[in-house]
Amino acid sequence: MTARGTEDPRAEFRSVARYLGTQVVSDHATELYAGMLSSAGETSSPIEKTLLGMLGRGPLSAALADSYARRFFPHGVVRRRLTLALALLESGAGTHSSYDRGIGASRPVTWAALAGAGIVWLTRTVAAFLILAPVHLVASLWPRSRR
Amino acid sequence: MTSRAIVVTGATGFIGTQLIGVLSASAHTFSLVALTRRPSSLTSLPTWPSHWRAIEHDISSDRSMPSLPAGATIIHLAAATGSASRNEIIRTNITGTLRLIEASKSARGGHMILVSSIAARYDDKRWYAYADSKVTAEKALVQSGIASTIVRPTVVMGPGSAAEAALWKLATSPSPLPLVPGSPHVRMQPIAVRDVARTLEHLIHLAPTTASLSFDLGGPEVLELGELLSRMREARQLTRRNYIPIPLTPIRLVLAAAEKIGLPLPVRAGQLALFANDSSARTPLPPALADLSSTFSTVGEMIGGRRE
Repeated sequence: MTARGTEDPRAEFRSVARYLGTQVVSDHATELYAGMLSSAGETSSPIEKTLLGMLGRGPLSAALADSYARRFFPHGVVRRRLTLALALLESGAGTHSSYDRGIGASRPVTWAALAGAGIVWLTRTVAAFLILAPVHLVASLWPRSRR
Repeated sequence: MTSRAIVVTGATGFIGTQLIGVLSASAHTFSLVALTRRPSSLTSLPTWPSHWRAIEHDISSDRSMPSLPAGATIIHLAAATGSASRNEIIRTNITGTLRLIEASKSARGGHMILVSSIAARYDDKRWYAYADSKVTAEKALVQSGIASTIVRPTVVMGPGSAAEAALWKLATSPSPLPLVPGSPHVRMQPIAVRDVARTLEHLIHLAPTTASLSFDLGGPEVLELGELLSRMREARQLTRRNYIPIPLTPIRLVLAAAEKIGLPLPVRAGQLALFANDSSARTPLPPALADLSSTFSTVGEMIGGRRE
């Protein structure tokens, strides 16, 4: 059995967009995402289904799913969906500017911002591992449900 | 043909299928009504006798229960198992049982045999809605005042057994680290599904002398999980392993939290209760079943030659 992931791709796009730094997305981009979702593929992996379910449940949840998928499923359906969402946001009329803009700050501020981003990244990676590794481990030991 | 009537719920399920097979051998001695969601899957069986009836009915639905034959012995097998959602479990295992009890009261003089689960006896039932639902169903039946027998099978093995599939997966895992959730010392007492079906057949014949009886039903051997897994490996010509326990509580906590927010999960926190509790029978079998139990399959017979 394969999974298409979240029941509501529009909610998933809004959640993923917030994780990727865009608070408000256009209806057009949302519909494009929903329409193109199948191009990101499907999965039959139980743990990837769990990660897909996390994408639509807010930016923090999406961030944890991304952090875990980056390590264990770098070419999986979760990362492909995130790539699709980022592509739409980067090329959208109302949203591209926040991705194209450079950082207008002094060198120390830039270094401080980078260090902060690194700490956030590390914290998120550790949290994702602590939360999802047990689920992943049990999923690998448990037979796939036939329901 | 006799006037004795039997009603079965869950006849198309894991134990129900075996029970129907066992009962069909003496089909001429009683009439049988199966309440099932899929009547055609029963009536199309080559062994399904023409005088038996399969009525389409889902005990978890709000539809009114069909009237049951007077004085019928009801074997209540239908249940939502551990992989189902909490709501589904409550609707089927508690509400469905309550409805069946009411229907049984209407069919005066009946006797109900409730197939519960060893999970109802678990000390640690945290996050295990299935175990809680079985406890509630048992209590409801006892308090109803109708003649009843409660049977709690232990770890039931056989084709279609979720527990057996999980054990095989653990036993034959190619992982270099032989991990088991919980402790390899947790006790299990596997019983073959056919032996459960044969026991139920005996109970039908013994009813109503077994009224107010409740007991655990296990196979002839009590083994620790590690030993059971090793025997399963040996059955496949694999070497024995010394299993490394993984702490269960953090895993169950994470699963329970994820379940709470509705994430699709590969396994539910409650299902791991199998690895946190003693799953051996704690009550002796009724003396009337002593002869039958001496013919139960051994663990070797249950796992010998079986493939996932």
